[in-house]
Amino acid sequence: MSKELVFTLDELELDALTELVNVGVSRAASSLRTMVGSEVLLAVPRVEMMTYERAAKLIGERESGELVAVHQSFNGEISGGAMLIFPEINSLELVRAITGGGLPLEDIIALEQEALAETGNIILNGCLATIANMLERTLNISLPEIIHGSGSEIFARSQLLEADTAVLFLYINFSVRDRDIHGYIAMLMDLPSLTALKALIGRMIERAGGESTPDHAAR
Amino acid sequence: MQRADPSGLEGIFDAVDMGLVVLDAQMLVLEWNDWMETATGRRRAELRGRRLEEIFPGESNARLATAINDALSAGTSSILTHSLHKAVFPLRSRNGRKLIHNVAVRPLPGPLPRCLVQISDVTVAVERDRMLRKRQNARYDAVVDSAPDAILTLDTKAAIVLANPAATEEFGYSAAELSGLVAADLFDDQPAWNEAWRTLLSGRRLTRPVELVARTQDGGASFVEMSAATWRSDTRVFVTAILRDVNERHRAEQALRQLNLTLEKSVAERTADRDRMWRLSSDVMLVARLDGAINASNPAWRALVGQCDAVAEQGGLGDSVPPEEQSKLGAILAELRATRGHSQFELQHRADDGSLRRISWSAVAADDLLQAVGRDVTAEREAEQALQAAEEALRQSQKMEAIGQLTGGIAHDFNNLLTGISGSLELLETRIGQQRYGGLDRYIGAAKRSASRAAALTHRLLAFSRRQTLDPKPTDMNRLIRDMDELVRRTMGPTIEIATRLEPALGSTLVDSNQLENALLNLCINARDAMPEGGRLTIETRNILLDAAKAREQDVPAGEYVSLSVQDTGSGMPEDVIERAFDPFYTTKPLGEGTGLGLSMVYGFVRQSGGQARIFSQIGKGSSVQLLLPRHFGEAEMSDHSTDLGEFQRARNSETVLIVDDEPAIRMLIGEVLEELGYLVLEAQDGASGLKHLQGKGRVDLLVSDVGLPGGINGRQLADAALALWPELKVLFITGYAESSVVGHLRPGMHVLTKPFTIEALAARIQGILGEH
Amino acid sequence: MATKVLIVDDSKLARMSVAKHLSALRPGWTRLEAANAEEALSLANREFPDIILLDFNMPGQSGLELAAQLHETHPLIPVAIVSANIQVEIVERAGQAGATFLAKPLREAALAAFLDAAEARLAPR
Repeated sequence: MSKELVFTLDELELDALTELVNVGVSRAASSLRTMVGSEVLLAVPRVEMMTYERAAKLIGERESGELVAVHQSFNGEISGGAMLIFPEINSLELVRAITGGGLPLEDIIALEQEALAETGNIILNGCLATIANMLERTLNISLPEIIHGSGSEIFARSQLLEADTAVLFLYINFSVRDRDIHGYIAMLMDLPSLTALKALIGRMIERAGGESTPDHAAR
Repeated sequence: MQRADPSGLEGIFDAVDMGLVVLDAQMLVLEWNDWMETATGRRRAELRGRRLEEIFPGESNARLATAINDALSAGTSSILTHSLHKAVFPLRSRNGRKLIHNVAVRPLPGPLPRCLVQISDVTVAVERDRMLRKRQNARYDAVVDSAPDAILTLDTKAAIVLANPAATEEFGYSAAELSGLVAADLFDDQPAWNEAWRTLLSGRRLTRPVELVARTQDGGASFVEMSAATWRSDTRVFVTAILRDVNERHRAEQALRQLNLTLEKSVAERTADRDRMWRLSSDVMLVARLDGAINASNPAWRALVGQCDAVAEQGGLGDSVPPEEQSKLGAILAELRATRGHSQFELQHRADDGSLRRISWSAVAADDLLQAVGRDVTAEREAEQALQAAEEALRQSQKMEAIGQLTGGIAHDFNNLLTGISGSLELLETRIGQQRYGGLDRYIGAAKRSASRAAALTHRLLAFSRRQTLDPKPTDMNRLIRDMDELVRRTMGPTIEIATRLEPALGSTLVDSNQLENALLNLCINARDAMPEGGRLTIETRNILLDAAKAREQDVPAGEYVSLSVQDTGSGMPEDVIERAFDPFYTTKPLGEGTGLGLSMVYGFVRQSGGQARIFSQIGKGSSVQLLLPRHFGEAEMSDHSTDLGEFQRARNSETVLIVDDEPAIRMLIGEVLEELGYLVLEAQDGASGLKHLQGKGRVDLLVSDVGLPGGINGRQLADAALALWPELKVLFITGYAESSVVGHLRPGMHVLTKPFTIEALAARIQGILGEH
Repeated sequence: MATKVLIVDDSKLARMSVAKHLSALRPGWTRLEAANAEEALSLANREFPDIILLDFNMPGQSGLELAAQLHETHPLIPVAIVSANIQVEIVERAGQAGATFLAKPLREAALAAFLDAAEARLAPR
């Protein structure tokens, strides 16, 4: 039974985090572009905080087949795990999009795991590095690891399974070579990490100009 | 450069089988291990303090730069795999082969930010994999690549992941263009493709190749035949489709189809017509062998005999023929076998519902086969039979009706005559009992007369039943007519006036007088029926002389004739009715009324007697039937039918009874009874004279009246008029018929007595009525 | 009359950040904010900003589309597209839309350079 988070980010903080992540994936996109050879667009429309059970349920509802995830763990002032999750069918499509389609099918299948790992690595690093930079902290981030399974299986494989584990849940949309591929990013953090994150974000907001009010504010 | 190495781990740096490079915060090379020296051919001494972009100019990798940067600033670890990067560094093996490598970039812990770049040689593994795959797929590849048919491998979204050279040729796209294309877009007929795709994805096989129209890159159409199968790799499902070019075949088929079409069309049309006739005809059609075994039969036959197709085919014509007609069938078949010609015959067949149907066949034997067409005439035959039966029945009923009519009239006559006889005898008895012997002969005479008239009536009846025998005697028609006066009057009823115009010096004629009476009666009945509203009947006799010409006209010998004609004032008859009037059964009367026999009998009798009958008629004026009979020169028999009835009137000082009846005997009878009882009796013969009595000075206490009276006023009307004059008047209706309609509703004081009645009954009734006040 | 700058970004933080840099570089200028393309257009038509800064990655109409629209309706206004997605294609398209490309996160120096250039374009007024 999932309970609601006792601790969560407020609207401005979520807004700030969304902006961070968007910047992060945009950087990743520009990184990918050099490999792909044609325009890559990445967008994260929304960020939500929720329990990991709810996150697993959400994914389970939306995706009926098997999933594949690229997982990286991080520790430092905030610790946890970050995952880029795709429906398995999409993964081959993604790899094909990135490798350009000139490869024969068997080669794609053989290289799929590696290509997926690197792609995930690029995107996740994009997010994590941006977060670290903006928060003016360094994190110790691991190399990528591939996990297959259902939503709950994937979440279970991530080491953090504490009751208070919070999940930063994002939908991510790829646009590569006229293909639209959708996936999810989930960042799992324990309570202390979340507290620290909140504090760090708060300071970032301050730095970004919390004290100056515009002459005409938007809603 | 001196390095302190207390742990002895430094040796590891150069001993490992992978490249290791350490960079500082400015991304300058700090360390470069032995492996890297060997693989790059560059010595660490010249590389320390330089940037990678400098060391390998023209090989800059943005990803690598980002990775290093992020590792130093954010602490990220990155991988660069050979799958996405052909060669991050230019590396070669000892024997000069290109090294396929993966690169990992990690931050190094320590007081100063440093970054470690690891390069792993995966050449062997990659080569081995390729070799393995190659060997595994060698044959497959050979086949696929050299196949003349286009081969496509699709993923579960029907996107092309593989296309062989033949496919690129077939569709006109390059392999790269085909890759990722949704296969359905290549074909015109989406429904056919979709269905095949659904079958494949559900795991089922395509039972037969699917014909599709492929759209090539230049927009042309190409006919292909697709066979495809689903297969799995790990958890992933793929579909491989082989598309065979069938354009040639298609063209040939088209041409052939076109040719067949034109040819078949004309043949089909003709055949269709014949088939239609065979199928739709309601006549039965058979093709059979000459022994009757059926080869083919149309639906109408099968429906008739109720056999399913299989049984019908095996059966024979004789199967449905009942036993009694089998020999007939045998004979017909034998004849057909012998003559090989055309035959028409009727046979009965047992139909599906068990009924016997009569089929009228038309058959022809030719080419050792029998072709027969039959029509069901059961209904027609039955209708004919029904008609005959109906005519018989009608004749029978008409006969009965004729008898009925005559017996009705005759019974009525008998009624009256019996009343006359028994009444007279009663009076006789009374008189004798009273020892009043005077005038007894009057009663005796009346009784005798009634008796002899009854006898005559009986004779007439007997003669009627023995119609055929004529007993001609010299007859005076006038006398006969006069004698029949009563009968005629009674027959005509009160609404018809009767006039006679009798030639005084009428000659006699040799004729069966009974028959003549019958004839006259018939004519009178016809005349009456022609005047339902009433009218006038005229009976006329004349002597006629026919000269040769006139005689010929009449189809009788020339000579002298006596004529008897009966004329009515009815509606008359049109030409066509006159023509057929003497035909047996011809009648213009509605069904049930009249016999139609009468005139034909009259005609028959007259002709038998050597004479002729003619009808004259005018529409709106009336008709007249004239009988011509040869004049007989001889004595006529006389019969004495004189009647002499007087009227009695006594004035007495007691109740007065008025008797109104057109029958004198009745008047006399009732009068006698009343006088015996002491009543005063007044008599009248019709309504008019009765009324005169009532209007006279004398009082009337009781009116005894027949219902049916001549002269226009019937008994009821008389009674009503009388009551107007004498409100206290009692009325007693006497009647031979149940003429309730004429009597109408009986008012108080009105009574009815039906004939025949006994004198006692009459007396009792009258006393009862008169005793009522 | 003070120069008006319109800042368009769906993230409040980002708007705040730009506003902060702006107030540091051009303290006297007026700042207007919009959270999406719709708001931006209506503001532009009412308030007539002199300079516009757009986020590239916005829900609904993207910054690039908005830039193209603005280029048609207000061709004289200097527009900058801000994005962390530094790609040849995007930079090119920004240029076609008549906008300058600025990298995210926005460096004050980069912003300063853009503002100088923009001022120069607006100078005759």
